[in-house]
Amino acid sequence: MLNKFRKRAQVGDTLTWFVATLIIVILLIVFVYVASALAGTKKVVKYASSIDFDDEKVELNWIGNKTEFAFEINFENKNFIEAWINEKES
Amino acid sequence: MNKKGQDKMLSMYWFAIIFLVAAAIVYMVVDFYSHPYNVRELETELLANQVADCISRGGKLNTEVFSKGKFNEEFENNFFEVCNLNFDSGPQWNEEIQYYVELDFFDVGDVFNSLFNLKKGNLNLVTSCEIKDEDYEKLAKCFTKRFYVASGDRQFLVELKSVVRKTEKNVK
Repeated sequence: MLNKFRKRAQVGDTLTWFVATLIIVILLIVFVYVASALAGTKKVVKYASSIDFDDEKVELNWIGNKTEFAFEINFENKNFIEAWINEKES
Repeated sequence: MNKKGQDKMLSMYWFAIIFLVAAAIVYMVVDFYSHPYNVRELETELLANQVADCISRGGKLNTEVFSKGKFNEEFENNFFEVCNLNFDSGPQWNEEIQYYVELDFFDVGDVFNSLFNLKKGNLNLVTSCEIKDEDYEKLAKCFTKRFYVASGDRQFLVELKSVVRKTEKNVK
């Protein structure tokens, strides 16, 4: 009788440890999967497109500013030039 | 099993679990840091900015490009010196150039016929620009921008294209 109880307790113990191990392994697999997914998306696309300057958001457009400067020199055909430039960007 | 044997078994189990966790952590760290940062889109933009800076200074067309009413053909030969650029890609790609820059100057009155065209770098990379699919990560990255420059009374429209490949360093 005592032996039967001891055996049942041993089975219970083994089952507990087995489940615990399974949980640890599953968690590790999830972590490894998440780490590889995050590693695959390390894409640096663009630096800041605007900066906060005196509570004002200033848009940064390095090449676009060249057009603005050129209009300071000669602003003839401004609408046409802007339309031509935007045609590519849209 | 006696108490001593049970303890021994348990510590072996814990060692195995600790080893498993440590191995997983090492694997995660190695995997995470072995993926390179893909900076090519940024690089194409930086390259375009550098070329645009070289052509237009304060909105005015650089005299190395256009002077005395005509485009300077010498600019094509001196492009790298004038624009402070170096397309040497190093031995990793067997000296195959990984960059491409194309410039087209149009008159405001005629935007279909280029007045002056300049192509520098590896022309083979341009074919990648036609494919827009995001799945083709290993193709070269392209950046195209248009802007306007003035030179006295003359007005020019510029179309600038920059391409960077360097796939091996940026994509795994």
